[in-house]
Amino acid sequence: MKIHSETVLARDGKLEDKIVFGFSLLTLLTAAALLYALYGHQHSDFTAIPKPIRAALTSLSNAGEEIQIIREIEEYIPSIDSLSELGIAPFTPSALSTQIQFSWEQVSSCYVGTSVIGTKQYFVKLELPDLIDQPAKAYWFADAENQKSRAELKQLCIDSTITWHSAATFDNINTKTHAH
Amino acid sequence: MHINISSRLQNLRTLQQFLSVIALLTVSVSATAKLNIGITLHPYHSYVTNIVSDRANVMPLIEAGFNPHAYKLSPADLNRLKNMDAIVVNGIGHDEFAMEAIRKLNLPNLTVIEANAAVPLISKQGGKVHNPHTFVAIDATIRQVYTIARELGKLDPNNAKFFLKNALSYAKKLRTIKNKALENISPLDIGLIRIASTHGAYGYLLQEFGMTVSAVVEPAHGVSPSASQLQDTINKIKSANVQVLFTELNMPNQYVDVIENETGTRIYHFSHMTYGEYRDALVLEDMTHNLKTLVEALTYASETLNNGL
Repeated sequence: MKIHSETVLARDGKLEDKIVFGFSLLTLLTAAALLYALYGHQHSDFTAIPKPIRAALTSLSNAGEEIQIIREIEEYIPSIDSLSELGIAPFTPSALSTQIQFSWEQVSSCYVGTSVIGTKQYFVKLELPDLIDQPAKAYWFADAENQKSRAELKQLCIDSTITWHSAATFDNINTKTHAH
Repeated sequence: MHINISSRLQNLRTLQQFLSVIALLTVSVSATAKLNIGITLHPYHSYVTNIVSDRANVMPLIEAGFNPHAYKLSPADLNRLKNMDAIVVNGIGHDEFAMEAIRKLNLPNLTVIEANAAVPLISKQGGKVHNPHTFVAIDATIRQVYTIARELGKLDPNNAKFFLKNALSYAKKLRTIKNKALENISPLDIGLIRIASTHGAYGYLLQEFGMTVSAVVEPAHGVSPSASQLQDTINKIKSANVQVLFTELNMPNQYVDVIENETGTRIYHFSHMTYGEYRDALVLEDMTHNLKTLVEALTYASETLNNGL
């Protein structure tokens, strides 16, 4: 009977360690690259609503709903003065010194307001849709370089050079996601 | 032959009449059938019942008494979910237990109403993480109520105006609570008041009064800070000269007493509105409590500052 024998050299473990480490690193790098490709850049250009105007934008968005109801029941678009008289914020003067005051202008179905907070000028806008059963939309824009500070406020309703951000954070996220 | 044709025509007429009656019955049933609307959190039960009144069925997804922060849906909850026409969700982090199931189950007949779809949110840069406590504030609540009313109106066009009218009436009630608080706060000098809170639930409420939170104590909701985190918070509260600390009703936090003793800050309790039985009046009652508490706290802080204590 012939016996076949083979001598197997014992490894010192160092090579295996390197191979295992190499594969682990490669797996991690691949996973990281895939995750970045899938999600990494989706919201990178998301702009959070600035703290000073967030509360006013919520009020403005609510005002949009109430203006639409006024349009439906009384069949007119209320003026800034009548909104103020009805006590609809943020068109009515604020009762607290800690709340922001806006200056307002109206162009037909567009209301635009501005306020300077610190070194920045903020603009907010409410656009009414043609149909009364659709919701109004609120927007904001921060003019850090004060380029629009001297512009006539009413012009901002039609100024196409401004990139308005939606007050609805969901819209912002969806817009940015779809843009990529 | 003539009789045969006449008989067939007669049968066809009978069949036609029968089908017309069935069609009429179907239309009338669908016209009167109420929507089954699910909700995930207590405040949404209040919102929806006030919007729909008796013209829809409102059903909580989970039974009362469970903490929504770390809840896992049971088979009974999943059955309820399958019987809903629509579900109103917070959708930005406070009802992940429901969102996870909705994403996985793929229920084509279920309409998901994102209550926060039009709310300007407190977001972390990147837009993936938002403060989900919009239901603790008045204006953010009104915003959600209008969104829910509009979306339900799309599902039930016959009642769309009724829903919107009720939403407006509910918004007026909420605004009355806020205006009453504003009347009491407006004479106070609140510009220098500094506030801390145990967790980030009150950011939306405080921003409506032009206030911000100087220090948040808990690393996450319901998670007590470690000894070193507590010491850091105490230092932060002292250096920021915080006068009042807002914490949650019915939440026994021993470390809050430590902060009160170490810093001289006074503690006030807000309702988080996610406890007990589901009640129509919960939001109006607890909002009233919260704003009364806010007035008391700001009055105390203003007096403390005026007295130079």
